Amino acid sequence: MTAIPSIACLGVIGKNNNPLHITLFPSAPLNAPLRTPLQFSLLLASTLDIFESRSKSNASSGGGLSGDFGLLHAIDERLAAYGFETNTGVRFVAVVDMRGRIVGEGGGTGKGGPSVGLREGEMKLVFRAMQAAYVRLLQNPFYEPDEHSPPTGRGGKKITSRRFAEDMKRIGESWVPGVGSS
Amino acid sequence: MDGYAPAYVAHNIPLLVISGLGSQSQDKPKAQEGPILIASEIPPVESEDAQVLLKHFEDSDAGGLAWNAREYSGRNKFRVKVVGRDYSLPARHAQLPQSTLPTTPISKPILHSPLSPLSPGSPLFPDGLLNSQWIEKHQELVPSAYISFYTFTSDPKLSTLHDNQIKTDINKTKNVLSQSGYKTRQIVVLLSEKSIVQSSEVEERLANIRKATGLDSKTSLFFLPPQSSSVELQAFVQTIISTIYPVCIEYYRDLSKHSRRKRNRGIIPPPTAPPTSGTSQTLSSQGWNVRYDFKLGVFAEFRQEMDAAVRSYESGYEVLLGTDVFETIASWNPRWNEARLLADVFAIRILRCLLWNGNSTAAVRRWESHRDRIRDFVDRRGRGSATYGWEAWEARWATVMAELIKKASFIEFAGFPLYLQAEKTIPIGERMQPWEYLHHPGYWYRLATRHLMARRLLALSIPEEDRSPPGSSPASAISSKAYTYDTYLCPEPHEESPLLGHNGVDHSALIIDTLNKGIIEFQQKGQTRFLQELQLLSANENMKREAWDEALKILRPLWQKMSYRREGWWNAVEEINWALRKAAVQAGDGTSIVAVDWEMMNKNFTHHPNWHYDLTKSLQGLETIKTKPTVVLHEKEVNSFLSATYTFEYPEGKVGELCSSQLAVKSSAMPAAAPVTMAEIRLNFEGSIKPLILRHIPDADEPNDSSGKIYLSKVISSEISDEGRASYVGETSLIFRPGETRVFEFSTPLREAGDGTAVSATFLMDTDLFDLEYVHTFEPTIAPDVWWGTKFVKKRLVRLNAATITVLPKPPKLELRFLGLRDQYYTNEKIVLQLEVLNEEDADAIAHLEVHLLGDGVPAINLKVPTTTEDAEESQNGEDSIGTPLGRIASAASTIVELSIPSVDLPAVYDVSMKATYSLVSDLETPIYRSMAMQLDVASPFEANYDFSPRIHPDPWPSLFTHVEGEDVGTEVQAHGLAQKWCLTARYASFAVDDLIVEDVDVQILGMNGGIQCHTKQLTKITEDGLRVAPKSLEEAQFEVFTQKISLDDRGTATLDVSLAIKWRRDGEVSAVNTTILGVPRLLVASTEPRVLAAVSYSTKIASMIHFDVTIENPSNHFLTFGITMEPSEKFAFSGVKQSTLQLVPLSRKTMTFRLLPSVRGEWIGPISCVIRDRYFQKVLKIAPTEGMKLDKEGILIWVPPEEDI
Repeated sequence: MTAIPSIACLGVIGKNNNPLHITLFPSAPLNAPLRTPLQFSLLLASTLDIFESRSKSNASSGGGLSGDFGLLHAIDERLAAYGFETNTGVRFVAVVDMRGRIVGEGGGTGKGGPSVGLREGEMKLVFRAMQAAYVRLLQNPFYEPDEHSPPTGRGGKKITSRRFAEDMKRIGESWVPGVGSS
Repeated sequence: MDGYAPAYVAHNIPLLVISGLGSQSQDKPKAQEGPILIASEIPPVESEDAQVLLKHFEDSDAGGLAWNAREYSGRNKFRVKVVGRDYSLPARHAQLPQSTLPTTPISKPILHSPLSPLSPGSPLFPDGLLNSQWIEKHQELVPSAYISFYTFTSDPKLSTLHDNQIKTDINKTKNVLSQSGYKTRQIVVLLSEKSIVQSSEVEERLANIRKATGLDSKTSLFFLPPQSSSVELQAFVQTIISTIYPVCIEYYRDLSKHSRRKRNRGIIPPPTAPPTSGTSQTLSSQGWNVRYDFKLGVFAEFRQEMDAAVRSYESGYEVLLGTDVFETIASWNPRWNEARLLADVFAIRILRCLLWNGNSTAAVRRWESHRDRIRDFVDRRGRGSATYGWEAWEARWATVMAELIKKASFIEFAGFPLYLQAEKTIPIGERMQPWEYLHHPGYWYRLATRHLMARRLLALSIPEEDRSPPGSSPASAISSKAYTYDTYLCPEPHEESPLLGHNGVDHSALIIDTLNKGIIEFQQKGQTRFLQELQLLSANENMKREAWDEALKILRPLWQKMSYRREGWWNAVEEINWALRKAAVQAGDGTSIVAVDWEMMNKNFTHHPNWHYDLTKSLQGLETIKTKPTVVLHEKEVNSFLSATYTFEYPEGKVGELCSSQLAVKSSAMPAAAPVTMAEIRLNFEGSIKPLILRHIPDADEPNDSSGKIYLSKVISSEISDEGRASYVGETSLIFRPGETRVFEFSTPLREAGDGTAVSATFLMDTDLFDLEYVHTFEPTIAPDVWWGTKFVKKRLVRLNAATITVLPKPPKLELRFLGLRDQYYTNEKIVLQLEVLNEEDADAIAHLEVHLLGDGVPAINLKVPTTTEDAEESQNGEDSIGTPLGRIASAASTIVELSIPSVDLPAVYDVSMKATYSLVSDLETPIYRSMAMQLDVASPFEANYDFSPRIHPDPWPSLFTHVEGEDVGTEVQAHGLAQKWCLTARYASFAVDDLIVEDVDVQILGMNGGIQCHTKQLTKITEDGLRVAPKSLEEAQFEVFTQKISLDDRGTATLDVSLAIKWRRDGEVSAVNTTILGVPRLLVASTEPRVLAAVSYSTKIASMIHFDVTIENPSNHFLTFGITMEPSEKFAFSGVKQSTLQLVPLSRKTMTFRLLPSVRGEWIGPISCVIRDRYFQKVLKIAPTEGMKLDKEGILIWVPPEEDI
């Protein structure tokens, strides 16, 4: 009976720093999201600071070509945000709850047992899947990227595709640490 | 780290006491409570040098340095304590308590340190572990070195006395120190007086002192030579510090050894007196080990040996939390909390050592493990971790970490990184908790606030009976309270959650305080968005404690500047909006309330069913608002539900024309929202367009059909002038319902040329309680601009910016045109152009005309204006205008101006440019321009070529032998020379484009050279009506030219300059005759060479017989002989000499006559092979033909007329 990390929230943020999509996932002991949707929104918004300054330093150092930003920051002992940026400036954020899931027999309190950590690059799989889903969304001729991140630089619509939402849900639920890590 | 005694948690550095330097004695305990007193009679050194030295010592104090190896490396750091002359040390041994005075003198009780749990006077007696006093003693009271400063006098008389005083004093101090039992090193510094001379005498005195005091000259006795510079003074201080540092470290090592010896001894010394109170338990040996380990760790810290310190602390920590120490203390015992505090101090010191060495991940793990162990303890043995006390400690523990990290001031945190990478000792690829990467203190403060909030939640859930202050509840309740609530480093329940009317903990203040600390950290990192979240929390806390103004102070700027609105995080915006509204309602900030209400109308936000969504009700019933607020909102500042676009129907318009434009206002308010009524919409333009104002009238064609979504209203606007600014005003209904798009169409006249752009629409709302002004700036959007039609069909406007119109200047309606303009004008002709100036304006115009002729050799141009009487005065008005005044031209009338250009001689191309400047009588201020340009091509009407051939002069040549007496000599020059006859044939072609009538063609003699006389005779006659010459046709005119040398003796060559004058006129009724003069190339006459002229004449008697005469002229002064040969020909028979010789005397001529009988008719015969050869020069003379003959390359041809002609 150990607590293992699970995804607590997946966020897609547009080029204008506007939220395109947010999916919340329940966390272990109560089987409910760890924070309120508002708190998760604020949390996702706070990662933008890091995206911005990292891009700046990447631009000067020439690094970060792969788009994977790795760990953005840990908000506390349980929640940590990982980030990825596509070439078009769309950001994927995965908020991981380090004790989001209880494995082993019995329910448990969620506090028991040492929790499992994460290795560098374990989130890559998630981002790859998210990018694939986003690319699929872009291939839809009825999806107009400019509506979602207008060139005026202000705001934008959210993604309403049900399929995309389902994809996100599937990605978030199916992820377990240790899979596909290299 | 507030809850812990400062000495417990501070980093330890060797203590240095400086005595006798400077007058100030910081803490003057007068040494009464301390039995060990170092006193001295010698006054402190107060020279200038002493002050400088003191300053250097004080500067080298390391109390405020960051806790990391970087700051300490390479420098010897002391905690410097400056005292006056006197200093007292704490007692080394406790005094016997009064109650336990020795009963039996035999068993004399063993005295221990007053701080030891063995001394009955100590707070730790009998079973306490440790308290902060012990560290305080070493850090603050007992120095590792005691430096005394003395003046080294320069006065030779007093030197011995002084030296002796110093010696006594040093020895006295030495005695006190050695008797105290402390191993403090004694250092003496002698400061020489300024005037002293370095000499052997001084050396001797120093040696004397040294001998008498037994101080080591290398490490204990220092002498400052006189007149040292400031650099030397600093170096002197450095020397002292670096010399004594190893000694001082050695001092702490000795202390360590002492502790270790005691630890290894393994027995507990008996207490001075047996415990008589409490459990009468004494401290177990494990407990003593904790004490010793702690001491070892502290002394290692004194020596800056962090690794050793960690080892000692870890060992002590393990023992403390092991089975024998902490576990054995009952949780109700105050010692339990003391032990817990000690565990915390152990952990804090371990953390500091780890951070000191840069083991950031290890530090986080240690931090976590301590918390987990303590929680385990509290859960098992204490009051559980579900109490407010536990949360309070958790918050404290996070704050401690934040402060430790801050104090360690990692160099990496100066840059951007928010967290540190794992240290090198952690194997790569190990599974790490993200939190284990050490994050900057802001995150730890954030964590602390979460716990503080949890603490408040738990505190508020304390049942009321537990919250009553002590004394007011029964004793049983108090005792139960003691078991329920954990009050470790936090207040009792009645303070934690006070009943109404009692003072207690201000949780919000605690939270805000921690948040503010965090805010500073996040600000430094530039994490603005995180900051916003913390600010919102902080504002919410302020509202909880009802500090409305404080909350407003945070929220108002946050509301204005937040990134969430710009980036579309609507739920965050909403949260801040509601918070602001709540604060504003309480603080009486009407502006914010209205602004929030305005924004919250937008349907992007969550719909709250209980909210009215009616702007007019915003300020209803709010007594806090004293004045009627005027709210100005800009489109960028709020996420407004009203959006507007402005379009002109056409991209261009002209002054004076009407232009249609539309304002489309879309309301994306909540469907349940009340309609919003605007008082006025003001449209502002940039450029040449006047502002437009829409006013609300309650019942004007209001679209009451609620099914549609788009309403088009055509607004009739009238022009008014308001405070000097003209604007258009229209009236319509300005009610905006949710989801509607209202389109207002205007038709306004354009008044000024230039570009015009719609800049902004200002919506004015005017209610009893507030005035609102919402400024919407039109910005290009990605949505195409739309023009709404009457049936709500929309038309897409494909333009870059449909809110822009280009107003072209008013087109001039004054027409300029030429009347009777000819196709072609010719040289030598006076050109008259008639320009009609036609006024097509609606009003009379006063005009000026300017005409310029441009080109090479422009003739002066003359303007003829029909003058009327009123012109004179009118033209006065337009003095400043340039050009010829044309006077007033009535509407639809015209004036004809004659432009006359004098005749030009050479063909040329001129540009005629005309510019009419006029102003209408209705608007004299605005000049209007009309210009026109025309190309005037002046061509030559004729071109000619010429043929100049000789003829036989009919008159006999003068004889050399005849003398004619001149009759009237002097009046007229009589020519006597040779006369010759020539024929000038001019062939002129018309280059005109239309028929011209040639009246006359004549040759004018311009000049003669070579002494000849000349006259001409026109051969070709032109009729009275003139000769009509068609374009491109060739005409011929022949002239006979008679020349005669004035003197017979003159044989020089003569030339003749003539020109051809063609008098012509245009084919018209009245047209002036023009003369075109064409130049003729210079004609060469009168040669001295002999020449042969052939002439032909037809016999009148015998048909077909032709006389062919060959005349040989000899104008020379020589006697010439010619041979003549006439060859027969097939074409004719001839009679005459066939072959002969002819001799010509000077100045004579002779004609040979042949009669030809041609065999053909009606054709040219020949060539006639008549060869005349100069016998002397053997040169064939060329026969020049005259009329009726022609020359081809073989010879002369003669025309034989056809039979019937003869």
